[in-house]
Amino acid sequence: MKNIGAVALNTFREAVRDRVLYNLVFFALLMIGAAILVGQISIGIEEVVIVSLGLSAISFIGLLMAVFIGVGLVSKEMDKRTIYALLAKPVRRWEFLVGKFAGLIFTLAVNTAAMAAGLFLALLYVRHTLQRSDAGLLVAVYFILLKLAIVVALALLFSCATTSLLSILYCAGFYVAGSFVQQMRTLRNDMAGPAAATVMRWLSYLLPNFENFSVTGPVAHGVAIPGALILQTTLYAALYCVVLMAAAAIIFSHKNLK
Amino acid sequence: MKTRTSALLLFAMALGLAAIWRLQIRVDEQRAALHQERDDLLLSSPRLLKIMSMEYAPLLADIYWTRVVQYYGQKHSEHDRRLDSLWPLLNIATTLDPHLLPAYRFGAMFLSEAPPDGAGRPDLAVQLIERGIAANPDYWRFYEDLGFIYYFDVKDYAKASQAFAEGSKNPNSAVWMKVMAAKIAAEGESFQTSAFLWRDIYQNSKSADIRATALAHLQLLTAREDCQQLDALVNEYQKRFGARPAAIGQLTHSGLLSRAPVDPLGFSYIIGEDGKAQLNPRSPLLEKQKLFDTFK
Amino acid sequence: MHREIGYLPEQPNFYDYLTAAEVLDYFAKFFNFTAAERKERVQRMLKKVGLETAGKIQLRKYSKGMLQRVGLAQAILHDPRLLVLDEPMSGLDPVGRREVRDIILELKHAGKTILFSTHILSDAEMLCDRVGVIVGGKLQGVGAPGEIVDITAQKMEILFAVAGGGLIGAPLLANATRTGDRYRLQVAEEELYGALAQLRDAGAKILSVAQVKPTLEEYFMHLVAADRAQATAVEVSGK
Repeated sequence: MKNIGAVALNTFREAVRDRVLYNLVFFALLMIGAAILVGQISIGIEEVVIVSLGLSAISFIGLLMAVFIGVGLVSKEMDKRTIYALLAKPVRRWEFLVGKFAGLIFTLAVNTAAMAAGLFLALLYVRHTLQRSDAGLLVAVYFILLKLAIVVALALLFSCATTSLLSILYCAGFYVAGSFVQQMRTLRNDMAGPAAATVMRWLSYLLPNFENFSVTGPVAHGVAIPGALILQTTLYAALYCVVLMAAAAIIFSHKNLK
Repeated sequence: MKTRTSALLLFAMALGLAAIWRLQIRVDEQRAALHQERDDLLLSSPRLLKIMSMEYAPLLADIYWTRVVQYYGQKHSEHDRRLDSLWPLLNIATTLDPHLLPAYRFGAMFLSEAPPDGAGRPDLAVQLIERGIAANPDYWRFYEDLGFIYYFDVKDYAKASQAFAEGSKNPNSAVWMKVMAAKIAAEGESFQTSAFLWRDIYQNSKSADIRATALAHLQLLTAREDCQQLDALVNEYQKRFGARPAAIGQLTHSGLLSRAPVDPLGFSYIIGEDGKAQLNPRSPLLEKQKLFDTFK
Repeated sequence: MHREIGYLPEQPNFYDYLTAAEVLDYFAKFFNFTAAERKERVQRMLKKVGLETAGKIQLRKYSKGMLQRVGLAQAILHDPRLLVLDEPMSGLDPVGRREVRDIILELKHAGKTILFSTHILSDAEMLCDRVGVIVGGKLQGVGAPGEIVDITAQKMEILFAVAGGGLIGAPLLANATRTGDRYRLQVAEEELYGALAQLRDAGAKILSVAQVKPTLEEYFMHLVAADRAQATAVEVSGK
């Protein structure tokens, strides 16, 4: 356990000392600021615009961070040869992976919290008060974080298997595919034949369904998210991360580090 | 890590995926309940979107149009009657790209058709087509669509005739447009006109949904025609034999009909309690007819 | 088992966003030291490899030699019983090499087992109790340095000076190498006294007489040549 913690802390430190991170967070805050301006252009929907644009910004920037840092988690250590001294220590390979994962998640959590604070401030500025329904915003941000966790796990998996560039492409591909899972399900039989429809159906359930984490609609209109859904969505993300990490552990343990 | 551990992990992964599958179904149920209130359409101001999307406006228009198609398809397969987001989505798509012809044509179709096949808003459909004509004055097919809507859904035959006439002025238009204008002006609604128009749609439309609708309409038209002719025969029978026939069989027996007629799906017609010819209760066409009649 | 082994990779690279102290602290965390023990050890190690003052500078600013020292430090941090060092002297200046040599000797006397690889044969000769020579990917000879090089006959080397005048005994001179007015001459052991007599007669001043030991390098080159000959032979016979 302490091994995982040590690796995680180090990963967090590495991310924090990377200036690119600050630029990204700054950019997100900028977008939220712009949302205030955009809200002024139309009538009566300033809050909706701020919330939806703000959440989109947090999600987008978070994704960038998750993918670009995530794909380097393992491959960078291998390319720079820093991994050799580390693995000579009494730390297991899977502990190393989990530590990397935890470190990046923690980094993302901190950054997402910062951006969310910015969003709340923007809302406060426009509305001058906070309402109970704003708690939904926290749920939305939490859901974004869950989504990022899966993306990190994906990035980590590819990081073990291939180069950074390919990993980025694969991650992007999976993200896009995972965002259209619902459509895959409504694709009807007459479009491509029953065999293809079955394949589609299987894919639609097995691919990570990123739409699960999208609650911008209800939240922007003040609809509360039921606790059961929060629990189930958390469970979904956790399960998926475990599956991905198991795959990463298998690949990494069989990897010849030379 | 030994191979055995790897194998165990793989097995655990398979279990995990199965659990994920089951979990997803539960999550879907919850989310469906959540989204009952509103179909997710946040930025509903088309002009705002157009400003924001800058040079990507046509691309965004394509995406919105795709959303319309998916939305319509999904609602259709779920037998959901509420198509509230249809007009806003179409509005946005055509504002973003005024030359997106399919959006106007299919969109007008989706809008004007009575539920459950469409939104039942022919007024919005007319608005959409007129906007299309304004942006694309040389595209004569819009007049055909306009005429179609006026003829079938609004039932304003004067305007329908006008639309066909207007469209026929375009040298590239189909020959029958002028004929159609004249016929409608003279007769208003007629079986031939209706059948012709629906057949044209059925043969030329690229949307499977619309073709299915057109086919249904054609079949019902045929059935209605058949019933009218049967009614004439019924009256003839009464004149000759003094009493109304109770069943089709009597008509054939008496020699007025050579054989029992069937509807386009193969079910024989019956004579109803009111003495008029009707669709067979077992025919699926009856369901369709009831639906169309409810919302007309 | 990893607790008892220290490993220094070839051309070590560490996290360049960390300082030396942080890197050592990071590695130390994987062992069961308390926080206080860790801190103490890290300081001690930095001192030992001569990086005390540079401890708070980020590694991205380190020279190759400094990185090498960090590498050594992290290998011995946890006091392992076996050390595996891959090219421990590479990239170091003479001072650094001397220091590393001293550290290795110190560890050897402390009872550690050290396995290191090097291309610098003189280092191996100087430091090692046992040497394994790898030529063409195969282990060709294992043994104490002194033992395995005893393959050629002993030679003697005479260092002498000639004052002014010529020196008869031209064949002798012909074989000698000259630096200024000093000459070095190698003769077979049995010819030593004969040569000395000649030089005495010629009035040369004998500066030193020493045994010529073949070096590990010569032994190595000899093995390489043998290996190549074998390879050629194989090629030829293969045709």
